[in-house]
Amino acid sequence: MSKHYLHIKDLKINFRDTEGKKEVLNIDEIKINKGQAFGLIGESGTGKTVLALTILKLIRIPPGEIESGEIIFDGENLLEKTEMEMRNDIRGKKIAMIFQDPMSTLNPVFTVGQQMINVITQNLGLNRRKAYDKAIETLELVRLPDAKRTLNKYPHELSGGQRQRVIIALALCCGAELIIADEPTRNLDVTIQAGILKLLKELEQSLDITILFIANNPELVYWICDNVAVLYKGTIIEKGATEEVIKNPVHPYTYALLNAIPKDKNEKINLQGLTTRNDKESDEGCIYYHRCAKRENICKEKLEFVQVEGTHYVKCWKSKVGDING
Amino acid sequence: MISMGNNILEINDLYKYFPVKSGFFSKPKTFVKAVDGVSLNIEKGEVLGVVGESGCGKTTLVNTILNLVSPTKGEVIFNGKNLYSLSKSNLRKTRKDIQIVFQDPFWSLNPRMLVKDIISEPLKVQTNIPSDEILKKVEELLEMVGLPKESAFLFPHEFSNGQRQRIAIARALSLMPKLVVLDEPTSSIDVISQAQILDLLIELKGRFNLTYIIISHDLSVINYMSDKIAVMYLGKLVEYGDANIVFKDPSHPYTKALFDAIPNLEIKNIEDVRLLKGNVPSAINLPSGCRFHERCPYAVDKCKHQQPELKAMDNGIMAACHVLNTT
Repeated sequence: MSKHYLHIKDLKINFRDTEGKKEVLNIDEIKINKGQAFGLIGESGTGKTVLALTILKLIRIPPGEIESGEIIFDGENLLEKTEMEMRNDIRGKKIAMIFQDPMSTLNPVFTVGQQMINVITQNLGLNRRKAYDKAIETLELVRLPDAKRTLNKYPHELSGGQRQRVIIALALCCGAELIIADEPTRNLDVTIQAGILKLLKELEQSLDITILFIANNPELVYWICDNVAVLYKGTIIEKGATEEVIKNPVHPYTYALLNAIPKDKNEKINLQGLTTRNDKESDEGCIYYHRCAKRENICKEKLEFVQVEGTHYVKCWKSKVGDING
Repeated sequence: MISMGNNILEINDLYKYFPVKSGFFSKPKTFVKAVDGVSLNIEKGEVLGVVGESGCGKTTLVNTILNLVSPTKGEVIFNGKNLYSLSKSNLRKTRKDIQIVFQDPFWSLNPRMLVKDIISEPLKVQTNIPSDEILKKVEELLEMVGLPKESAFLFPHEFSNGQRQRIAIARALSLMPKLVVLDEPTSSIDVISQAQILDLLIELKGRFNLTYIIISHDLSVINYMSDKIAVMYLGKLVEYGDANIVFKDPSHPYTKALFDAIPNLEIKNIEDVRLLKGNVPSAINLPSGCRFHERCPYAVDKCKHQQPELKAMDNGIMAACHVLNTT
């Protein structure tokens, strides 16, 4: 068996509330190789962020509950680590996260420099002088012009794109090798978005870091990721090389996601498979059953991943029958 | 020019400068030129898309049109009435016909009000609808935007972002306005809810004969919705005209750059995506000449000194660019 940098196996996460237990994540397997960019797509509420937080062990327990599973990172199971070990060895130093909203991730009452130097001295034990140099070095790495002046600025003085660059710098400044980017370009302009994505791709190549990229727009994933998994209600329903999955989607849900992006005025968006959000679970069968426009009786039965081509796998009964989206 | 009769809204040479004060008593010497000489007109039943990067004045433009901020200069004629010369009470009556849906429904809906109160507030302010009929009307509106009737007695936090935006749309449509301004209606929601909201907006437009002004930085949304498109850069229009033509064949270098940045499946590698150099310059110290010349790949010497005018080109599109207008 080949060794994977991040290997998630049989991960099951539940949340409990007054109404009882809710299954939030049920992932068979995710394998990410070192130096790769891996994309995770799905609409809001499918558990993308929960997965990211679980990798860093940042979900609150309770109400969260890890029922079973392993997250093997660099040969070690993260779920067995204690809070102290996570804090001292993993978070920031090995795995860092870029959060969704650049407006609210930075502390508004401290300058960028104070926040960065704080993180570096805490994590790496450097003195302030050296931490300052390190901060400038990382800010230059993320192509922020005039790094010295940026250090003295407060977050509100920066534009959205600059703020996101500062956050990427914060993620990189302690030498993290796995970066989890949770919708890093949400609420940013298209031009800024392209710039941030370009930067992430460049960093991936120049620093040999691994990226877990979370997005709701499959086209963004197509731009920067080598492999991709589509998440629906906590379960992976299609996975494989990006080129394959995005260009030739097999699962009706992936197809619907791609179709949801408006293209042409004369071509109406096909809302099939998107309109109803039914929370009823079918016990064994396809998790997408209630929303699927192409459901049939067979879909109620238990199903496993089916190989489409090469690394491209899909969880859909009808993929066996033939080209369902044609 | 199009005949006057059909225009629901005409904007003539609109300016909005925000003074930048350097001290408490000193007179402002510099200005942020948020809207700098914009002229547009919208026909009944049309959708105008306004697009540009953040900070280019899109939101100020609509706020000025609605007279939410008072303009520095210019006039806005809505249905034959100049909005800026109306008396306060008349303005209030006219506002009934112009409504707005704001960017982020999380912030635009009062968290302490029930959905029924949010939606019925415009009705209470603007109409004499008897109070026992209000709930019926609210339920009608909720069903119109695809929410269950029972939502009326819930609070905004009990909904997803896409559903909240539907509530905001129901509120905007409660008075059956003639013109609806949509300020980035889908920027804070995911692609699937976005598709649903856009579909809903198109359906409502057909049903109630509405006119939209839609603002977005996302060109794919603008493309899907608009009949006419106006591209703004630092307070000025750089391209304006029929959406179909602009989308097939963008003329202005800035419009082209915006198109290049849309995620698409034609370019596999992000490294091949052409990006504009630099950031949007500060709106206080505007570049001389053409405001775009510092970032423009085609800039010539003339661009540094002289501001280009918006001129009609052969294909009927108006564009403000020296390079385009000479060749």
